[in-house]
Parts: sequence; structure tokens; C-alpha cells
Amino acid sequence: MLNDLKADPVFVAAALVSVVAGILTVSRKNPVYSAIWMLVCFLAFAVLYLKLNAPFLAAMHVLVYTGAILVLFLFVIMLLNLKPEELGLEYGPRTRVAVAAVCAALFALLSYPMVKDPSLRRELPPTPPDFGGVSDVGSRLFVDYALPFELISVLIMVAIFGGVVLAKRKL
Amino acid sequence: MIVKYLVLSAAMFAIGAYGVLARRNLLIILMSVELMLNGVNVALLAFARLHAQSNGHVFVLMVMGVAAAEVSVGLAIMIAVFRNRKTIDAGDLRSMQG
Amino acid sequence: MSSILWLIPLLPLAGFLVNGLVRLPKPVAAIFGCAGPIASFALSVAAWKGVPVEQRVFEWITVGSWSVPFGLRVDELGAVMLLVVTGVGSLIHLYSVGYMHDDEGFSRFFSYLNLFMFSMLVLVMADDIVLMFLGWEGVGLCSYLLIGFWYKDLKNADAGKKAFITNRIGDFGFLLGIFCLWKMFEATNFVEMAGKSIPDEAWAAAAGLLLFVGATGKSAQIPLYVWLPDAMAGPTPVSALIHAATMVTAGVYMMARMHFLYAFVPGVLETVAWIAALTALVAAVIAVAQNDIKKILAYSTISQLGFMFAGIASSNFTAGMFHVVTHAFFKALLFLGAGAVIHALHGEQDIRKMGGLGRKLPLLTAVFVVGGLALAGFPFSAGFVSKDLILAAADVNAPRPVYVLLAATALITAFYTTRLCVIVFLGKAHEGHHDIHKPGILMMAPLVILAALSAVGGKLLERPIEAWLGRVWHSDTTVRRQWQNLTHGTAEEQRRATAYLSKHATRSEIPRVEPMESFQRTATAIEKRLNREDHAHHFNMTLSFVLFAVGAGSALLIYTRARGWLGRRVAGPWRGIHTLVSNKFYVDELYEYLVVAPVRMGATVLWYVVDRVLIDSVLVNGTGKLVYAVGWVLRRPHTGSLNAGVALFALGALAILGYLAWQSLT
Repeated sequence: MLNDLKADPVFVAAALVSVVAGILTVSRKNPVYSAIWMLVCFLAFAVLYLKLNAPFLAAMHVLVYTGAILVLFLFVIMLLNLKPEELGLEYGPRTRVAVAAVCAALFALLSYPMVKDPSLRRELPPTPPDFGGVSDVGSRLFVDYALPFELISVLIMVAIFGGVVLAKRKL
Repeated sequence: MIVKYLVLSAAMFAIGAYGVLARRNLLIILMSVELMLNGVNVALLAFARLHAQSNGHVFVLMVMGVAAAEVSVGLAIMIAVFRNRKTIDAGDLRSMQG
Repeated sequence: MSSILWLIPLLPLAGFLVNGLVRLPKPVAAIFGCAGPIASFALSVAAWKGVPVEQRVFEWITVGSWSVPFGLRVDELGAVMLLVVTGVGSLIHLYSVGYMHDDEGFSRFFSYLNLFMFSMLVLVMADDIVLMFLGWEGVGLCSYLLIGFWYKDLKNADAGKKAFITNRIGDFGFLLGIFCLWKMFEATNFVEMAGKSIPDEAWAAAAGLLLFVGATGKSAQIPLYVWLPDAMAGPTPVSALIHAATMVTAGVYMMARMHFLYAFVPGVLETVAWIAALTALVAAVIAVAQNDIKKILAYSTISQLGFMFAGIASSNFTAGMFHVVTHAFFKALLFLGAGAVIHALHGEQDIRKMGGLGRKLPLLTAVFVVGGLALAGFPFSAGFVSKDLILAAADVNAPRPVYVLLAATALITAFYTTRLCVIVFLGKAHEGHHDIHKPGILMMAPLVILAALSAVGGKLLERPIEAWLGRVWHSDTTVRRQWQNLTHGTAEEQRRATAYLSKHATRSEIPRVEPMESFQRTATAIEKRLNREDHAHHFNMTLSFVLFAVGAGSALLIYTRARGWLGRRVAGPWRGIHTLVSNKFYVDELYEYLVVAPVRMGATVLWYVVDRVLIDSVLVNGTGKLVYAVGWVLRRPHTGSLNAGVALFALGALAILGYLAWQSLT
């Protein structure tokens, strides 16, 4: 496993960046800082997506997550306009350590079977050309999974309505 | 080969879980949920690569769509809560207590 | 007639409903109240012709192969009882119109009286012992309602309770007796039971004894008589009707009805005789020392009931029943007369505060004295005739000591009766009474009628009643069967037949057949008994004269001339025994100590431990508190905090994952 990592410095770098950025995201007091670190995390993830032969999705990831979701977050943060003293308390150190332990246990539980499973260590099969590309994903999306596609668009429409209604000052 | 991506995915998930469990600011909690979803995405793509099938990519698109919808509605709720209670501290929002 | 038999109990029931449900003005209520019993009396007279009459009114109980229809049957015995109940009952209803005139519970009184009449008539006319038990309980209920009629005074309510509870104890015995009868005969209908021969004498004895226990409750014998004196708390017409003429004689009637059983268990009859004689004597003695006019009559009733049972126990069922009839006449008369006296003196019941009423109320005195003479056994009065029959029967068929006790009781009866009459009606008037209220015609007319019956009813009715009732005891089927068993039965049957016939057969029943060995023996036994009976008849008539003379004469003497001497004796050397007797031998106190107090203590324990502690605190409140506690525990996780909720969720997920991981390892 270690050899594998040594042979793939891009992965190591991107993974490290995303993990560190992730940790920093969840630990900052100021939500603006959290958002910025989340941006960094997302960008690292885009790199990882590219490494996994998913160019279309990498682009989509940047577009949707950083371009839309993160921007939305920042809008709301600005809208709320909380001063530092209004940000409120956080849990004490004891609680945080306990939760960290629980999450560590969770991580261990999740990764252990995967590490131990030999069938995951096999050689990667060759990918068809344009694997993960626009036409490939597109044909999948519009031909094989047309129904889920329509449904997700309905979902997004509902979310729009919901968002508008919930956030109105007066109905 | 793929295992490292799966371990990374587990790590992102756990980090996101920490954020949800140990932070009181609603915004941070929502961001942590995004991190968890990202971890899931990586796992999905890793398995898609393992089996050389792009069905996983479509799944990831769905996840992204759901994440977007969820964030927008969640933030709208948070704004409404903030307007009513003047706070976005999860510890102060305990009217469901008891 | 058989199709309208049901009207006899129904008309009083209708009266009960009318007066019970609708509030009518007093004259109208009185009419509805009296109409039922009077109409029933008329129907009872009409029923006399067609005896035996039966009618099945409706199907009442049906369980498997056993059914008890609501069936009415009037045979010779029932006809007699019916006339007594409805006749004397009607007179008492008329009397009550006058007596209860100023009472605000007028309608309620008549509705209860009518309900009583209904129950009593069901009891008398039932063709099945289970239906008789229905009437039995019904009269017990009405007794309770009427004793506690003026319920606002706690004493009256307590007296009613005592009557009902004591009765209930007897009723338990009665019920067990019914079970024994069923075990023996597989039937509870009187005619059906009489038609079968007794399979097992032990069960028969048990049944007879248990039924008699019921009779001791209802008819106030030892040990369950204690309610009767207390029952005097009720209005006087109630005492007259229920506790003198009708309800208390139900026990005697029941035993007469079951003659076919009792004739075959001489051992039980002997026990009955002893208890009856003892009761008669003890009650008579207590009556001597009482000062409340109604209490004297109450103890007198207990004593006379003892006489009735003694007659039955001496195998002379006619004697017992005849005394029921005559006692109804003179005791009702005495009670009603006492009521008139109390009414005239505005509620005074203590005889020491009465006196010289003979001058003020001549007619009342006359009728009362007639009744008193009948009770005391004045020659050829009604009481004399019936008591004489009983003494003669006891002389022949009862143990010798029983006979002596009964004779002594007759003496004492004459004594206390004369004492009562002398103190109340002779002598000088007591200072307290100036304004004596003369009773009206509605009260006096029934008294006069009853006085006439008490005077001549005995001699007039003796022979007819003997012949009439004889048809029941010596019904063809029973006697013929016994004669048949004697000649053709098994050894057991022969023995029983001998015992029965030697006690019960009359001269005319001895058939002329060729003499066989056992046959001849039985015939001789019968002859011997009949001779003894003739002899006893003459001897006892003379004895009764003597007893009356001595008893009445001594009382007359003492209470007119020697009052002072008696007073000094009572205060001095006789003080101990006088206290004992006037306190009724402390029997009530004994029962209180032995029975009532333990039951009350048990009830308190049950109330406190079981009801208060166990049920209320532990079970009911405890369940509530438990639920509250469980709720409290379950509410702890609901902090309302988002993070806590998700944390629990995550922990659950961890648990599942852990389990799956562990599974994949092993």
C-alpha cells in the first residue's frame, strides 16, 4: 500500500490538501473562514476526480459545488451579518474530544474492511475511450437514466419553491 | 489501487461527521454535511473506476443535485429561523426539548 | 281458575309499582295499596274450590336438563296459608291506612307492603323450592325495607340491617339444603320430589337440617332469632304483618311443604324439637322481664314460633300449621292493638308509663284482652286449641324433656300475657297521659274481626282443618307406596316404611290384608301410637286448663295486689337474675363479641391492607408513578439539541457497522 502511495504523488498531495482543508473547515469559529477552507477542499477534490478518469464530473463539481453552493453559503453568511460576539458559544473541549474519538472510531470501522478486502486490490481494468467524458456520461444520463434525470430536475424545482417560500419575509 | 480513494472517502466522511456532531453553528453544520457528501462522491467514483462503468458518474450527478437542493432549502430555513429566533446556535434552538 | 292463578301475586305487585313509581294523593294511594291484597283474598277464596290448582306462568330458568319454570300450585296446605296471608294481610292494610295517616312516607309504606305481599304469595304458591327461595329472599328484602322504614334514625336502619344479615346467614343454609335436595332427587319441584323415594338417608338428613337452618333465620329460632326484637323499630303494622302473622311463619310452612322429606328423618326432627322447645322457653322467660309493649310481643312471637316448630317436629304437621293460623289471628290482633295503644298515647311504648286504659278505651281493651286470652291459652280460645294439639303431639312423639319444656313455656306464656294486660289496662292511670287519642274506625274494625276469629276460630276450624290438611300429609301415593314397600320392598325400604307408618298412619289407612310378619308388627305399632294419642289428648286438655289457670292467676294476683312485694324482690334478692333476663341473657353482646367484632376487624384489615395499601397505593398510584418514572427516563435524551440527536443517530450507525464488521471477521 505504501508503495502504491509513493508511486502516486499527485494523489498524496491532493488527498492531504483535502483532508487538512476539511479539518480546518470544521474547526474554524468564523463561518467565513470555514467557507474558504471548504473551497480549498473542493478544489482538491476536483483534482482527485480527474485522477479517477471523471473529467466531466470534475468540471461539474467545480461548477456546482464551488460555483453555486459555496457562493450561496457566502451569500447567506453575508446576509446574516453576524458580528464576532454574536457567533455564540461552542462546546467545551471535553465534548469535542469525545466526538473526535467517536469519529475516529467511525473512520476505523469504515476503512478497515476496505483495507482488508483483497478483491479491491486487483488491477484496474482498461477503460473504454471517453470514459467519464461528456458524451459518455451524457448518453448514460439521457438514455439509460432518463427517469432519474427528470426526477432530479423536479426535485430541484421543488427545492427552488421551498427556498423561496421559506425565506420570504412575508408570504 | 482503489483502496486509497476509499480510505480518503472514509476520512472525509468522518471529518464531516465531526463537524455535524461537535459544532453549534448551523452554517458550519451544513458545510460539514457537504463534506460528508463529497466523501460519498469520491467513493462512488472510485468504484465506477474499479468496474470501468460510468453508471457511477450518473449516480454522482444525482448526489450533487440532491446536495444542491438540500443546501438551498437548508439555508432558506436557517434564514427563517434567524429571523424568528435571532440566533443560529443549535444549542439555543431547543423548543423540542422534553 | 288455573289460568288466573298468577293474578294472586301479580295484583299486589302492580300495587307496588303504582305506589312506588307515581306520587298519588293519600286517599288514592290507600285505595291502590289495599286493592291488591283484597283482590288477592277474593281470588284465594275462589281458588279454594278447585284445589289442587296449578299454573305454569313462564319459563324462568333452564340449564341443561334442569328447568325451573315460574310455576304456581295451590294445594290444600297452600290454600290455608293463602287465606291467612291475604286475609290477615288485607286487614292489616286497612288498619295501616289509619295508623300511617299522618306519615309523609304513606305511599312508600304501601308500595313496600304490597311488594311484601307479592313475595310472600310467591313463597306460598311456588311449586318449586327454587321459586320458593325467590319469595323467601323477597320477603327478607321487604322486611329490611320496612323495619328501616323511618330510616332517618340510625337505630332503625341498623335494625333493618341486622334483620337482613341474620336472615342471609340462614339463607345460606337454605341454599345448601336445596343443593342437597338436588343431589338426592335430581329435581326441585315439590310434586316431583315427593314422588320419588329417598335414595340416601344421610343426604336427606343433611338437606333437612340445612333447610331448618334457613328456617331458624327466617322464623327466629335459636341461634338466629336476635333480629326479631330489634325489628320492633319498624311501624307497628309491619310488626303485625311480617313479624307475627306471615313472614316468620314461612319457615314452618317450608317444613310443612317438605313433609315428605322430614317424615323420613326422625333424627332431624328430634333436633328441631329440642331447638324449638328451648327457644320457646328462653323467649318466654325473657318476655316476663321486658317493659316495652312491642318487645314483649316480639319475644312472645319467638316463643310461639318455637311451639309451631315443636308441633311439626312431633310429626303432627297439622298441629304446627294450625298454630300458624291461630297465631296469625291473635298475634296480629295483639300487635295492632298495641299499635292503637301507642297511637293513643302519642308514641309511648313503655308499659310502666301506662295504666288504667281500660276505662279510657273500652273497646280497644276488650279486643286486646281477647287476643291476650287466646295467646295465654284461655280454654277453647283459638290459641288454646292449637297449643293443646301441639302439647298432645309432643307428649306422644317428642322426647320427654321437650314436652316438659313446652308445658313450662305454656305456663309462662299465660303469666307474661296476663302481666301485660294487667299493667296496661287495669289499675290507675299514669300521670303523663291527659290527651288520649281514640283510634278511628279504620283501625278498630280489623281488630274486631281478628278478635272474633281469635275467640271462636279455634274450635270452629279444628276439625275441618285437620281433615283438609290431612289430605296433604297422607296423600294416597305416599301412603300406598309405604304400605307396598312394607310388604314387597327391600329390607331397607321395609325398615323405612315401618318407621314412617308407625308414626304417621291413621286408623283408616290400615288395609285389610292377610297378616304377614313385619306387617303385623307395623300394624301393632300403629295401634299403640293411636291409643297413646287418644290418651294424651284428654290428659293434655286438662293440663292446658291447669297451666292457664296457674299462669294467669298468679300474674293477676301479683300485679294487682303484690306489686310492691315484687318490686322489693326484684331490687333485692332477685336482682341478679332479673338483670340477666331483662338483658336477654346478653346474647346480643355475645354475638357481638364472637361474630361481629372479628368480622368487623377482618373488614378493617381488608380495607386497610388490601384496598388502601395494596390496591390504592401500590397498584393504582404505583402504576401511575411507574409510568411517570419511565416517561421521565425516556424524556432524558430529548434535549432538543440538534447535535445530540445526530450524535445518537451516529452512535446507532456505529453500532450497526461494528456488528457488520465483526460478522465479516468471524
